[in-house]
Formats: sequence, structure tokens, C-alpha cells
Amino acid sequence: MEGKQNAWNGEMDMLNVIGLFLVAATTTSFGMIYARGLRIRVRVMESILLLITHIRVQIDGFRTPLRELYCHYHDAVLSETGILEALRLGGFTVALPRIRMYMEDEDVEILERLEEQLGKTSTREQMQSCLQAEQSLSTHLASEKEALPQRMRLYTTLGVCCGILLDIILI
Amino acid sequence: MTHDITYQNALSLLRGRINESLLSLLEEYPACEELRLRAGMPISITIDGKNILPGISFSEEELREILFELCDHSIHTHEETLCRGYMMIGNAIRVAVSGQAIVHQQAVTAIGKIYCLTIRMPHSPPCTNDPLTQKLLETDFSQGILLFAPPGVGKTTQLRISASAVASFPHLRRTVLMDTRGELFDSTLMKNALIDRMEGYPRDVGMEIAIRTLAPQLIFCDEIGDAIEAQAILAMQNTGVPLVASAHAANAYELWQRPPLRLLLDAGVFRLCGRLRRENGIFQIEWRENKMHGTEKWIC
Repeated sequence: MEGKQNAWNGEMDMLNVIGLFLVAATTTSFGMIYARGLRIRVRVMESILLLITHIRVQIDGFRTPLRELYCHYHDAVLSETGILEALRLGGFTVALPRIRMYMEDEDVEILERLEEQLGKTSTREQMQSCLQAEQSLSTHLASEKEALPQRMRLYTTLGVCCGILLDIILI
Repeated sequence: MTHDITYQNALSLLRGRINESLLSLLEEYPACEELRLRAGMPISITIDGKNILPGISFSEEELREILFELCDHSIHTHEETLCRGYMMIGNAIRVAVSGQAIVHQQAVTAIGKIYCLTIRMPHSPPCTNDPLTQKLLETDFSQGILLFAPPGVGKTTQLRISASAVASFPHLRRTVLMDTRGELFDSTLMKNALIDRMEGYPRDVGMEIAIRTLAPQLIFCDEIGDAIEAQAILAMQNTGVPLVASAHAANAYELWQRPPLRLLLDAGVFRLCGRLRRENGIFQIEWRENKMHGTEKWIC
């Protein structure tokens, strides 16, 4: 009888350990996913910056229509995130809600201001708008890039710590 | 893009670029030559020279939106031509744009308010006979020719057909197309022709580049007439490259009355002048030899 009880207790302990491990693993994964999200945000920002430079060069040098410009543009990050498809459908007007999923409000506002000018004003004004957007975005991108490794470590560590804390509470 | 477009082709070019009410209006009047939209005033349709008022009007804001759509959301692509008062849709439909000009250093740099948009619809199949090439053959491609007629007769069409013919088999002449307004070139017609196309170049700059770098045997140029162009043409007159050009004038007297053209005729740039007419879909050219160039006056 006592042997059976011991075996039962042993199984329960094992289940507890597995449960605690799962809790810790889940929170750590959340932390890592969030850290990866930060990296994607930076990559999207880099791609948007490259796109704006491309738009500026194409408008200045070749007066390329925006629709044609988006159709011939290729960028893996913008394709993966569905932003490029939205741009091809209806320019920044259609793409902005999707961009909002990956970028800070402050940066989206910069793009909204650019969208108001793009295709609607003279070449000179569009160039100025592109340059302004590029400057603002590159400043933000630089600070984001600088803080990225630290933030990624922070979120991963926070995930691990939360897991441990939850495990302690559950024990 | 071909210029030999039918009315239906033109409608499909406009589909998606103008709103449905205008499109259905154009479908309702298949003989429409011109659709004129005026800000705050009734729009008009021209059929066979007569103006019809369909009872629709647009605000200035709506005209701006229509222009934006016509430009395919890319004003910058048409900026240069808009400053000169027009834009082309697919190199086939011309839209005249007038409004409040913003002038900087005596040049129109932008249009502030839009007051009028005129969409010129292709309304008849172009003539296909080619008296100009016949004349070029007779003169062994050695003489400059000036073709003149009032607007709408078909000078551009005749130049296009002739440029294509002389640059294709069996003549195979290296031909430069000074296509400043993007109206002369026809990708279908000129598919196998020895055509070097210069689109959008100011004619004086384009002429110089063409002579220096492209070594043409003939140059085709549409609607010459201003003083700078005349000087550029004069500068190239002794380079051995004949110029085939067109100009707006109802008759020889009107041609003579335009100082830049008179300068060119006096200098003997054009040995032949032809008044173009179109009757029952056939081109006819009334030729006049410019023998009296130099010190003597060209007699009309």
C-alpha cells in the first residue's frame, strides 16, 4: 500500500515538474517572440526607408508613375509582411494600416505626411517630402537599432524571469 | 501604344481614370470629338463641330481629382507637359489643361487652380495614303519639306506614316523622330523601322544631340514654329540632314506671316512646302516649291 502511495507521489512530482517546465518555457517563448517582433519592426523600418529613397530617385530621375514603381519594386521584408502587395493595390493609402502593425505611431505619422504629398504635388515638393521622411525615419531607425540588442535581451530575460516567478508561486 | 486607336479603345484607356458618370456620357455619345469640363460651369461635348450641354457640372476640387486620376495618381510623370498645357494618356489621348499658372522666371512651373480639362477623343480612322513619302522618294530624300495645315487635318498622322515608311524596308533610312510631345511615335507602326526616337527633348537641344550623336539621314519634327526652334534648325541646315516638319497655318500667306517660319523659308531650309488637306479620308498635298529663298521673297 505504502509502495503504491510512493509511486503515486512520484508520478505527481514528475507531473508537477513537467507543468512547471511548461510554464517556464511558455513565458520564455513569449519573451523571445516579442524580441523577434522588435527585430522585424527594425527590418520593416529599414525596408520602408529604402523604398522612400527608391521613390525619390525614381521620381527625380525618371518621373516614374507610382503604380509602375511599386509593381517593379522588390523587397523580401515588405513582401513577407504584405506591405508591398498593399502598396501595389493602392499606394500608401492602402498600405498604411498594415504598416501601422509594424511601426510606431510616430513613424506612421511621418509616412502619413508623405502620403499626402506623394503623386499629388510637383516633383520638387515630393522630393522635399521624401527627404524629410528619410531624415526623420533614419534618426528613429538609428536609435532603434542601437537599442535593439539590449531590448531583445531584456524581453528574453523578462520571459525567463516571469516563468521562474510563476513556477515559484505555483510551488 | 498605338495611335490608330478606335473610340472604344480610347474608352477602355479612360476606364478607371475617369468617374463612371463621365464614362457613361462618352459611351452615350460615340461620335464625341471632345469632352470639355469647366470648373463650376456646365460641361460640353463637341460632336461634328457642334457643342452639346449634357447638364452636368463639376467643382474645381472635382476637376483636380479628375486630373489626379487621369495622371494615374502621379502628377510628377506629366509635370513637364502639364506646365505646357496638356497631358497624354497612353500616348494616344490628349487632355488639354488650363487653369491658374504659377510663373517663375517667365516659365510656367505649376498650375495652381484647374479651370478647364479638355479630353480630345479619337473620332475617325486615320488616313493611310502617303503623298509625303512619294515626294521624299521623288527628291531622293535630299530636300527639306514643310507640311502645313490648320489643326485637326492630320499633319501628325501624315508625318507618322511617312517616318515609318522611309525608315522601313525597302528605303531603310536612319530616321530621327523629334517627338517633343510624345505624339509622333507609334510602337505598332514603327516596329521594324530604323527610328531613333527623342521624346520630350526641347527641339533645339534635341536637334543638336541628334545631329552630333545619332547621324540621322532624315529628321521628322512636328509643329515647329517658335524662334528658338527656328535658330536651332538654322544651325543644322548645312549638316546634310534634311528636315521634314509640320506647322500650323491655313495657307501659304499665314505661313509667311509667322516670323520664325519666314526665317526658315528665307534661309532655304525647306525647299518644298505642302498644304495638307484631307478629303473623304484621303490625304492630299498641294506642293509649292520654295525657289525664292535667300534675298528674294517667297511668293505666296
